[in-house]
Parts: sequence; C-alpha cells; structure tokens
Amino acid sequence: MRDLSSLSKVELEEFFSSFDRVLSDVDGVLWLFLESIPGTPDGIKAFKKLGKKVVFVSNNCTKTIEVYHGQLKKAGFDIEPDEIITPALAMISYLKKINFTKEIYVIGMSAIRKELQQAGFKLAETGPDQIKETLQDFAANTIITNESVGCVVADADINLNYIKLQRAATFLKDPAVIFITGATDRKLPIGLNHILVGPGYFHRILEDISGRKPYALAKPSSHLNEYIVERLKIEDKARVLFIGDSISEDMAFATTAGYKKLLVLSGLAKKEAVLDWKFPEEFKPDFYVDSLKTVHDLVEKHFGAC
Amino acid sequence: MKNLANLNNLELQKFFSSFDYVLSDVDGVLWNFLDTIPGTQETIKSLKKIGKKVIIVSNNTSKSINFYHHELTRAGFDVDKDEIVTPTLAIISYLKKQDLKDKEVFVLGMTPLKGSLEKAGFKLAQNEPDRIEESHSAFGAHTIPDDEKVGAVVADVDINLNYVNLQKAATYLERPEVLFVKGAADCHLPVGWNKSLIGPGYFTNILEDKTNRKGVPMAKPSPFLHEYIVEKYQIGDPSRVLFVGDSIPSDMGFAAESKYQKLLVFSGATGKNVLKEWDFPHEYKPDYYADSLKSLNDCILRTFACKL
Repeated sequence: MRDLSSLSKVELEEFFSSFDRVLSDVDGVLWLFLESIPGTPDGIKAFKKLGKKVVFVSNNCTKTIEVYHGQLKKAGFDIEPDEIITPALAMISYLKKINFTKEIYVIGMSAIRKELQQAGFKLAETGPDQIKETLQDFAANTIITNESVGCVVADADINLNYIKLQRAATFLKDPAVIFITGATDRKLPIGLNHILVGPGYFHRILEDISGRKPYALAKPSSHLNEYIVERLKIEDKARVLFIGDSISEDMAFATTAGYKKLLVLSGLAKKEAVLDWKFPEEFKPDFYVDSLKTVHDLVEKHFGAC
Repeated sequence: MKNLANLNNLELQKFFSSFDYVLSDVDGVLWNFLDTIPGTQETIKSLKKIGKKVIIVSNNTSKSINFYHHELTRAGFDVDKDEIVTPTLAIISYLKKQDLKDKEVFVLGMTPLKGSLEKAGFKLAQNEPDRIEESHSAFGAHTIPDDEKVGAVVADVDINLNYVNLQKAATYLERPEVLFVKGAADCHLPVGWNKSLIGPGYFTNILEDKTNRKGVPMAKPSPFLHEYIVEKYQIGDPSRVLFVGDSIPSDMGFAAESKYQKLLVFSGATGKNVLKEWDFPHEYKPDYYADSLKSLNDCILRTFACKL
C-alpha cells in the first residue's frame, strides 16, 4: 500500500497508464452525504483529461438515477446519466433476465420503487405505518399469504417498521420467493460526526429468521460486479481502477472483482485504519490518497493543468 | 427428573411439604394463545386450598396487569391482581430505585407499558413519528438531536416499532449516564409455534450492538426479575418455591438461576423428546415434569383427598 502523493513522476506515469477505466464510489469519495469534499470534481476531471472512462458506482438506491445525475451535475461533476450505476439497475437487469413477472415486495424508499415500476415491475402493497395494538391486527398485517408475490427486495428504508419487516419475513418462508438485497451497511454515516444504525441490521434479521441468504446486489457482492462487467463490456479487469472510501465494501468489492484499488481517506476509512490494518490482507489497496483533490493536484503538478 | 404422575404417596407428601410458593408461567402452562389448558383452573384453586401462595409470572408486557387479571379471571383462574408479575412491574421498581429525578424515560414499547410507567410517576419522552420525509436531513433531524432530558431508555416489545425510534433510542444510549433497561427480549415471538415471527430481541440486539452496551434485563430468565419477586413477596428461602413453566431457556433457566424447584410441563413450547436427549445446560433440568398443570391437581387430589 503506497500513499499516491509519495510517488515519483515516473511511478505516477506508470500508475496512470495501468488502467483505462475508473469506477468510483460516490459517498465518501465525491461528497459526504450532505456536505461536499473540496476539489473532488477536479479530481474526476483529471482522470478524464488523461483519457480514462469514468463511471460512478454507488450502493445508494435512495435516489433515482435521474435525481442522482442532477445532483452530481449541480455539484460540478461532468457525468452522463448512463455513467451512474446503483444496485437498483442490477436488480432490474437480473429480474428481467429471469423473466420475472410476479409482484415484488419492496422494503425501500420511493426512488427504488420508482425505478422498479418504471422498468415495468408490479409492486406488492407494503404495509401500514401504524396498526392497532392487538394480536389480531398484528397477524392480519404480517402473517399474510399473497400468491402474487414472487420476490422480496430489501434495501434501505428510513420509514421501515416492524410490520413491514415481518411481512417480508413471512413472504420469505416460501423458498420460491426470490430474496434480493440492496445496501447492507450496518453503519450509516450522517455528516462527519454521526454514525447511525444502517439497513444491514434489518437485512440480517430477515436472513436469520428465514434461514436464507439473499442474492446480494450491492457492494461488496460479486453479483453487482457481474452486472457492471456485462453492462460496461469490461474485458480486462486489471485495466480497471476502483476508487472507494470503505474497506469492507469498496476494497472488498474491488478485490473480488480483480480490479486495481485506490482507497481515499475522505470518507469512512481513516489513516489509522491503513497504518494499523485490521482487515483481510487481500483487501489492501494498491494505493491510498487523502482525497480526489490530491489526485487532481498530483496530475496538475506532474502533467500540467486540467 | 421425576415424572410427577409416577410419584408414590410418600414422595408426594414430601413433595408438597417442600414448597410454600408456586410461581407459574402463563403461555403454555395455563393457556395456549386463546385456549385454556384443561384442568389448570382447578389446579390453581387446589393449590390455594392446600395453603400454597400462587403467583403468576409472565414475560408478557403487552397487557396491563389489570387487563391480564381480567383475562385470567374470565378464563376461570382464581388469581388476585397482586398475584400477577410481569417485567413491567420489575422495570418500574428498578427505575424507582435509580434516582432519575426529573429525567424522562424514552420508551420503545406499547401502550400498556407506557401507561403503567406514567401511572408510576415517570415522565415519558416523546417518541418520533410513524413516518418521516424521505431525506437524509429528515432522518438526521429525527434521530440525532439529544436535549439531554432523557435519563433512561426502556426497550420492550412494540408492534409499531420503527427505524426512526430505534435509532433515537440508540442516540440517547450514546450518553453513558442514560439507563438502558430491557423488557421482553425474545428473538422469536411466542405466538403459536410459528418460529418465523421476529421477536423484540432482534431489536434490542441492534441497540446493544450499535451502542456497545448491555441492557439491564427485566424478563425471565433475568435475576433482576427474581430480585423483584423475592422482595415483593418476602420470599426468604428460594428452595421453598416451585416454579412451573413450559420453556426451558426462559422458565427452567430462570428457576435454575433463582434456585427454585422446577416443574416442566409439556403443554406448551416444549415436547417430551427433551427427556431423551437434554440439549440444554445441565442445571436447567427440572426436578419434576408433567404433561400439564392438571397433573399437579391430580397429585393434590391423591394426597389431600379428604382435606379439600
């Protein structure tokens, strides 16, 4: 693992000519949920100036691609809508491949519902926000059979409640019902100072209670990579640089995929995590850097203005 | 482990003079869901007739003591209101001892628990709404602020539990001086035999994992519940208590920790197959077992025939 800013000009040249394509995470790399990270749009521009194709890969399905694209453009990132990939797209691709025509029970927010509906899928009713405190009402709202439901998609939902979760668990009792998960973080960072309970905890409950492993379509799952490779027609994985801020998600994902790895320290992972490596050896990135701004500064310094 | 039905008269006499109190679980012992188990009402009556103090001990906090009493009486069980114990009472007793002063209690729980806490004089912190706007900022706004008015978090079963309230509880618990008390904490809901119902334990586990804190348990098999019972009924010698239950981890575990005598009944969660292969801690083995509480009445009639 080497700090990118410690590389000599020759080593940097070698680095930049070792890949043609950049796959970059969004949260923690381009911005921090509600706050920007200074200089990151310039970092992306630098990659593009060097002729690299850039695609953003985010686990965040709480915005539609359209909204995501609008926000990224507004923040100064020069990107097309089809250069953004989220688990929602991978889900749609997978379900279409298997000719899925039944209803989908979704634990997720409006954006992922919209994406699935726009792709032509029917969504099952989710469940109320509140019920009467009786066993009968509980049973009536959770232990229901619905033959039309053929898939459960579990993603992040800030309005998730016990009823909705139990309803999903009930559907999952039928082994024929497909079990798909989106974002499975246990930690949900909000701003710089707070880490909240992430959706991963709830997906874990579903796995445990149903005794089933999901078909995971968010980083670090290799199924997401299958979608990416197919969609972007990636032939030589060694010529892909994956940039992320999470070791357990991004570096793990890139390791399984066989990509080159650049860990940025502008998000979840801090310098201490790099210096005192407590994760699997194989997750170690090839390089790490403070942020994408530093990438821009290095390119400008050695290869001229962007 | 002795089959109650096989005890001879001498053994039965010894048995009945070995305890003064009978603590009985409800679900799986007195009734199953909506059906009472035959003969159990008579058993309660008989136990009282032969001078035993009968106390109902249930982990069910989703009903108030008043309501529970009403249900039990209607089903033919001769119990007084103050002969019923649930974690709610233990929670209240524990919190009263902790000098909360004017600090509020944030409750993840249902109306009966909240009502009982309020009646006991506690001020409840406001819960977050059932639905919030779908944005990061809204989520943050409803889960991050802590005005430091809360002095305790009580996490119990709540069928209307939602993510926002769970996270809010976690936020309060980041302050080490905030008490963390748990009521019902099973991972599986004891509703019928349907093991696929998510129990409150999963959510208290999230709180413990996220905050790196252990909640003070108040439901069987917690020693805090035992302490509450012993104090309330002035039980001097726990070996003079016969505990009747249907669940091995919950009831037999509780009785083992509390050093009560144990009677395991097979009218509920546990089947007779456990006798062949005991997959639980050795200390959880019951002293006696029976098909149901009715067997205890049969024994009483055998032993005290002329006195009833």
